[in-house]
Amino acid sequence: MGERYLQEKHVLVVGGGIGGITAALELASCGVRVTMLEGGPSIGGRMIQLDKTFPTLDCSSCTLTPKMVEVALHPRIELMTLAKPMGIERNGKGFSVSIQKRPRFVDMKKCTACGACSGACVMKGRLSDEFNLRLSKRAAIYIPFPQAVPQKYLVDGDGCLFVSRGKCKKACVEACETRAINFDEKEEIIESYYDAIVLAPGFDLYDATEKREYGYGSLEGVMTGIEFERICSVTGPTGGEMVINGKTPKRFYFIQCVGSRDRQTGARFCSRVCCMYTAKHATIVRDRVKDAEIYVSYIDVRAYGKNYEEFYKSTQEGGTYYIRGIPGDITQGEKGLLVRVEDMLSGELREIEADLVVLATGVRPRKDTAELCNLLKVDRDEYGFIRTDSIAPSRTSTKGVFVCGMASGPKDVPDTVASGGEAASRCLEYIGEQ
Amino acid sequence: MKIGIFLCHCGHNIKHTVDVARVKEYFQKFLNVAVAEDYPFLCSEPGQELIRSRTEAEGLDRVIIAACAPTLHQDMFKDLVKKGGLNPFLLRRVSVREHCSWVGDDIGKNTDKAIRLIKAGVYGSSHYIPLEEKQVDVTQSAMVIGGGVSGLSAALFLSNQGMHVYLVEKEAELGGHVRKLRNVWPSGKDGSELIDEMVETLRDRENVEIFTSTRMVSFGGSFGNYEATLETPAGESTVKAGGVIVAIGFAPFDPISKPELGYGKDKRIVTTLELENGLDELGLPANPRVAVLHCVGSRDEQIGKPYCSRVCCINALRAGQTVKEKFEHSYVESFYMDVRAHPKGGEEFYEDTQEKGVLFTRGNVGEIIPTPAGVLVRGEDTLFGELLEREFDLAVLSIGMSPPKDNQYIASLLKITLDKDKFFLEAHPKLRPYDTALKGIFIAGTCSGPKDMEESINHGRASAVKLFGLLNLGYAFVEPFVAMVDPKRCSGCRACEQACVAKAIKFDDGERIVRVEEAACMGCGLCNSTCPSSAIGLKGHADSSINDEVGAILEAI
Repeated sequence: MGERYLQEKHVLVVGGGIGGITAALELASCGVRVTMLEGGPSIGGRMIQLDKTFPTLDCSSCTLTPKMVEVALHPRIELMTLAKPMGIERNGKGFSVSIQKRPRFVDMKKCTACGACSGACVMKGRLSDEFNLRLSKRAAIYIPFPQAVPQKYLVDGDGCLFVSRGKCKKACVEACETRAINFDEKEEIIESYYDAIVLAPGFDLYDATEKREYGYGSLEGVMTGIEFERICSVTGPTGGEMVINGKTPKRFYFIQCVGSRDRQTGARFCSRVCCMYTAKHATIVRDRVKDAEIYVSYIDVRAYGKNYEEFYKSTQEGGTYYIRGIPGDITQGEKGLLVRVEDMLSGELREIEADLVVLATGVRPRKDTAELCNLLKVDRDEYGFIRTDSIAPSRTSTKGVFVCGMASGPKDVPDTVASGGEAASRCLEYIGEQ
Repeated sequence: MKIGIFLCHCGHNIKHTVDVARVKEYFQKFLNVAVAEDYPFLCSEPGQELIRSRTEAEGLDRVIIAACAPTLHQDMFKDLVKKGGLNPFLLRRVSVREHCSWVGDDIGKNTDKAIRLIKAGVYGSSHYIPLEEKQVDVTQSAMVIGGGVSGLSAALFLSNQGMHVYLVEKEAELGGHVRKLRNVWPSGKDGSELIDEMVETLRDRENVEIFTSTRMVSFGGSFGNYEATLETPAGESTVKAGGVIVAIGFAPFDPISKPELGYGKDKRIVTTLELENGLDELGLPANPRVAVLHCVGSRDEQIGKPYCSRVCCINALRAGQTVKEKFEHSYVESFYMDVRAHPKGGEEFYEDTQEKGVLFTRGNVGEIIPTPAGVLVRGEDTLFGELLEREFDLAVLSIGMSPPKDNQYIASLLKITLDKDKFFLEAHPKLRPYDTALKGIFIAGTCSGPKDMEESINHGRASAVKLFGLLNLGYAFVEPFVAMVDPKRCSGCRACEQACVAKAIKFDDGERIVRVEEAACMGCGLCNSTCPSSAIGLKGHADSSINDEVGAILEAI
C-alpha cells in the first residue's frame, strides 16, 4: 500500500496559491515527496491578497496562513520560491526539469525577519509594492507581506541600487546583525527528475485600461476590485481604513462583468467570482461607511454556491441598490464621477454620481501559462486556459501533467480546493502505474 | 524542579525595547530557576547549541524560551530540548517579541511586562506533564455510502491505491442520477455509458465489495476503526472501515409541493429530468410552443428553498436546445430570474441557446393553468413590469436539488451535522469543503449542497485522497492533547458525553463514570467547559495551569 512505493516518488507542483497548496499537502500526506515552485517570494497566491472571503466574511489570512505554514514545515515538501521551470523534457514516464532559481540575496538560514535591513535601505518608501497593487511603497529589501512564507526578506534586484547599478553604501548589510545579506548570490539552475507534474499557476485579472470608457488609469476614483480588496485589508496601504486619496468616499458604484461575458474584451466566459466578490465589497462598505450609498450594476447575479444566494439577498436587504444594466461610460462630473447606465428594469437612462467606482474585473489565464504549456506540450482553450475533460477535470492533454485551480478556468476557493484534491488523486494514480 | 529560562534579543527587535539584562537578573534569583541566559539569536546555530547543551548539562525539568511567537520555530525548539534529554511537551514558549517588544516602546513598561509574561510561563508550565504522541493502528479500508458519480469516483481512487472499499448503495443499481442522463453536459456523453465504465472497473477489482439494495442499520467505533452493520439482501453483514465517505447525493425537487404550477395534473407539464427521455412520448404538435421555467424549487423562500441549485439554469438551457434541435420552428420561451451559466463553457452555451432562437424572458411565473388548448403560463415580466399570460403546448420545469431523503437518518447514525437547508454541513465552507467535524468521515458531492457532475467528481476524489492520506500508513499519530478523566471526581452525570462532537466519551456502566477514547478525541475542550465537577480536562492544558498563568499575569501570585 501507499507508503511502500509512494515514498520513492517525487512530484513537482508549479504554483503556491491555494490550489497548489492543497495538491501539495494532499500528495505529501499520502507519502509522496513534493517540490513546490513559486515564482514570487512567498506562497499564498491571490487568496492571501484578499481581505475577507465570501460568503462567511472570515479573514482570508486567518484561514490560509496555517496552510502556508504547513507547507513550509512539512517534512516531505521542499519549497522553492523565486523559482520557475525553464526546460522540461519527457524522461520515461516522468520528466527531467531544469528549474531557474533567482537570487534572494538573503541567506534564508540566517534571516530572522527582524526588518532592520528594510528600515536602513536608502530606497525605503520609494519602490512600488506589488503585493498592494502598487498602492503603497516599500524598500529594495523587503518582505512582501507580514505573514509571508517563507518568513524571510529579499532584495528586489531591479530596485536595489547595489544590484542594479553597483553603487550603494549598503546600509542594509550593516543593519543586519545576523549577516544574512549576501550580494554574491547568483541565479541557480537546478536539474531534477519528477514522476509527475501538477500545474497550479493561477490567474491574472483583466486589464481594465483596455476598457477606455470606464476611464481606469485616467479618472481619479476608478479602481479595480483587487485594488479595493487591498484598501479594505488591514495589511493594505491604508491599514484597512477606507480612505482613498485622503478622503472616505460616500457614494460607491460597483460594476460587474468588466472583462467577462463581453466579446469585445475577448472573453465570452463568466469569471464565476466577480458577482460574489462585489456583493462582499458592498457588504464591507455597508459595515464600515455607515451612511454610504452603494450601487451595483449587473447582468445576472450569479450567486450559485453554498449560501451565496443568501449572502446576495442580505447584501440587497442591507441597502445596496442593484441595477440591472452595465454602464456605458464614466466621466468626470462637477461633484464626482458620473456613471451613465440604462436601468433595464425601469427602462430609464440614469446618471448616477459616485465618489468611487470599483470595476469587478474578470479572470484571465496567467501570463506565463502559455510558456509553461509550451514546455509541456499541454493544450489550451480559445482563451488560453488549460484544456481539460469534464469527466477527469484535472487531466491535461499530456500524460502525467495535471492541473488545478483557475488555470483551467475560473473557480472560487472551495472549487479550487476540490480541484487541488482531484489533481492529487489523478497524480497518485498516474505515479502508481509506473 | 530545575527551570531553564532562555531569553532572545532577536537582534534589536526585543533588546531595543526590553531591558534584557534586568529580566535576566530578575529570574536568576527566582525560585527553582537553574539557568537564566540571554542570547542575540536563539534560533541561530550557536543559540540552538546553547539551549541544547544547558538543558542536558543541568538536567533541566522545564525549558522556557522567551523569544518570538510560538508559531515560529516551534518544531525546531521542541527538537532541541528533546536532544537535550527533556520531554518536548515540557517546553514553554513565551512571546516577548510579538506580544511585548513590538507593541510599545517604553522600555520600563515593556521590561515589566516581559517579566510578567515569563513568570506566567514559569507558573503555567509547572503543571505540565510529560506527554507522548500516540500511535494507533488504523484499518486500511473505506466505506463509501452512495453509488452515484461522486461515490464511484471516491471508490475508484481508493481501490486503485490498494485500499479495501465497501461501496454501499440503497438502490438495486449503481449510478445515481447521472445514469438517467442521456446527454451529459458539456461532454454530450450518455450518462449510463459513463457510469457503466466506472462500475465495470470497480467490479473487476478484488478489493472492492459492492452492496446494492443495502441499508446501513448501525454505526460505531472511532477514527481508524469504524464499524457498520449493513442490511443486505443476503442478510446482515458487518464491515470494519478506517474511514467513511458519505456521498448520498440529492433528491430532485418534487414540484407537487408547488401546486400552482399544475405539475402532476396534466401531462403537458413535465420536469427537466423527465425530458431526459426525449420528446417523442409527449405528443407535441409540429411547431410546438414550449415554456421553460428556471428556479423551480430554488431561490424560493416561501417553500423553504432559499438557495440556488446551481445546475438548473444549465438544465433549462439544455431543455431549450433539445426542443429546438427536434423542432426547428418551435417557439421556446425561458422564464428566468438570473441566468446562472457559470460553469466552464456555460456562458457560450447560453449564447448558443439564444442564437438557436430560444427567447429569454426575465420574469416570475405565478401559475400554470391547463386548458384544452394548451397550458396557460401566467406571471410577471420583471423587465417591463407588466403581467404576462401566454399559452404553450408544453411547460418544462427546471427543478432544483433538495437534500437527500436519508439525510436525517445518516446524520444521526454517523453523528454528523446538517446545515440550515438540511444538506450535510462541511467543516469549513472554504478550505475544508468535504470534511466533517469527525476525523475520517467525509461528505462528498451533492449531499453537502447542489453541484454539477464535474464538481461532484472533484469532491469524490478529493475527499478520497484526504482519507487515503489519513490511513495509508496503517497507523496514525494522535495528538497527546486529549481529554482525561479524574475518576475520583467524576460523578457520572454524562454532561460531557452530550457535549462531545467527536463522540469520544463513553459511559462505563460498571464504574458509573465516563471514559475517553483517545483515538477519537480531537482535544477541542468542549467537555472541559461542561463538566460541573472539573473532573474532565485536557492533557497539557490543565485548568490549574491556566489559572496560575492568569494569576501571574495579574500579579496575583
